[in-house]
Amino acid sequence: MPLTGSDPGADTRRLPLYVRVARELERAILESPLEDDRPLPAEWSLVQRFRVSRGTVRRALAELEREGLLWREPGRGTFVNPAAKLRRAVWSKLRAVARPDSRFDFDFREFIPDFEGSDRCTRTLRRLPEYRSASLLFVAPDNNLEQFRHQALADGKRLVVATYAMRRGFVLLDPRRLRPSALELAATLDAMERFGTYLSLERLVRLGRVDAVVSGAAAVTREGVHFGKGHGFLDLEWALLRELDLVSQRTPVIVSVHDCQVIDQAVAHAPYDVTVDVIVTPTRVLRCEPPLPKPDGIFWDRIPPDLVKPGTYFALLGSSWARALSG
Amino acid sequence: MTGTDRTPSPPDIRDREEKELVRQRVWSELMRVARPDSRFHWNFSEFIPDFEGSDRCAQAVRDLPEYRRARVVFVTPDNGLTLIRQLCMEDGKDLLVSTYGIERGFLFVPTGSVEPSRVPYAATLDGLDYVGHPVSLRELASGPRLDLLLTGAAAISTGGLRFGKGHGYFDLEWGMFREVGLVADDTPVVAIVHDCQVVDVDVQPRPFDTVVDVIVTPTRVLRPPLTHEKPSGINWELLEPGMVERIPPLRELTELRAPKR
Repeated sequence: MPLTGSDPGADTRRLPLYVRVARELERAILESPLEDDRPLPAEWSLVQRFRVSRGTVRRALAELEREGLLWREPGRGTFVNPAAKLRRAVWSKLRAVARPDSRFDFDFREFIPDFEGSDRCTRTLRRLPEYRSASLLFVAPDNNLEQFRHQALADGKRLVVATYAMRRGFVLLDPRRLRPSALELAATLDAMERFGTYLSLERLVRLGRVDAVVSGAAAVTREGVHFGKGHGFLDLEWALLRELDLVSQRTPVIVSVHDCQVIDQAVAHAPYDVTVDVIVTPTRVLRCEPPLPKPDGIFWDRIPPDLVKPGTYFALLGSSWARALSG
Repeated sequence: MTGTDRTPSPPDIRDREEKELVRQRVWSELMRVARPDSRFHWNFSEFIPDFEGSDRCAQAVRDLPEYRRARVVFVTPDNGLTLIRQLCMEDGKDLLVSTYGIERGFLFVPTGSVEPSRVPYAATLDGLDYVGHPVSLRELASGPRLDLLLTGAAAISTGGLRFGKGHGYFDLEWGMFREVGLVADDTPVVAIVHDCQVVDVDVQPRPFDTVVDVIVTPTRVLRPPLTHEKPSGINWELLEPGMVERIPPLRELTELRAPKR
């Protein structure tokens, strides 16, 4: 049972003891301040606190480690992963306003959810000057952007949309080639591949400059540090577009989130993290100034193994780069 | 309430292995004609795919007397059934669907509740979540009976024995409906599959298998001889651990049954 979707009112009595201990431990971790980077108390003190066996404490810790919330350093102790903690703190608030995914229910590790007020975000997005002047947009396959994709197509924008987890690359949705009645359908993940065209690396390059990038987020800081669901797909998508020179440092990155997803606290970011210029929520528009630098290309050691399988963008790019270097 | 209550014994395990072999064999054929899922890509253990010719299946279902007669139709959330869900809405049927993994129970789409221009959107799993009305088993039980059940399958024997993704969701759905009187033994069940999913194996159905009455493929309509009674309810002993916690209507059913214990 995914904890991220766990309903506070759900009956937990039937869950195994170690899972209940893990959930209580998680709650305590989330209640501590974000900057608290001390190691967890030693096993024996958790044994006393929860009045369970050492074996149960170990299984609970192992479960939270498997879920990515904790990491262990032999000899030093068990630590909290700050990004995972931040996501979960947001997810527990988001649960009240989020809409489930058609496949993943409320398991926020697997998708960026739609939420109450996303329609207001759509209206605000469409009024942004960055949007009005754009003709080609890159849009993430996030659920909260479904209505936005629909409206952007209706506004005559061409959209490059990533397939879920980039598994089938990017798809081009061109409203000039779609019937008006098909636009809402074409905006769904379930149907967009029926209406769009798959973009080979060559066709992607020929598209030319992308005018703006629009994405959802698990969380975003006021300064513009973006947190995805934990797999780094937006970073990978940006890196690819940047490597192909389809975006530049000046290409605006706009995220649409619920107010509860905006973090009012500075968080460090890595050089491979894409950063955000404009945050749109149901109630406000936040401009992240001064803009944080964005990655200038692909960080090859960040690419997950299934995205360098033969035929994928990264595999094709890797081989053509290698050819260019050897030639 | 159920036929036999027994825990898996060696014959069951052999049976499961055999089913797994059939699934694997069919999946490798299906790769050529199937369409990937928006989320699960080609991982057939997570979903039942759409395939080339599913539109012909939907048309063939539309011509079945069972469909023409039906007012209330239950359709599983399988990708190959998107068009038939659309046709149900267009043909004025009340549509009932389960959510993926039954994790959010059932969604009801009353006839006429979706604007005609939005019907194709409403027929997708993504769209259903926005247009369907969540409905509890108790609410369903107080409404009219289901006239027809439509399902996909990973594979199906010529005798009408379904092989699902492996979790037995359709058998569960049937069992729940049966427990609250929404279906009876003679309620027709139709499976929509590609020809390559129809396998000529002689696997004996067990008491909890919901054998189908009609198999519709892009090229033919098969009516297996009816020799097996459909299950009379849920076989509680055979549920995977955690299913009752995960599946709201199952939880509801345990509550409905509780006073009788």
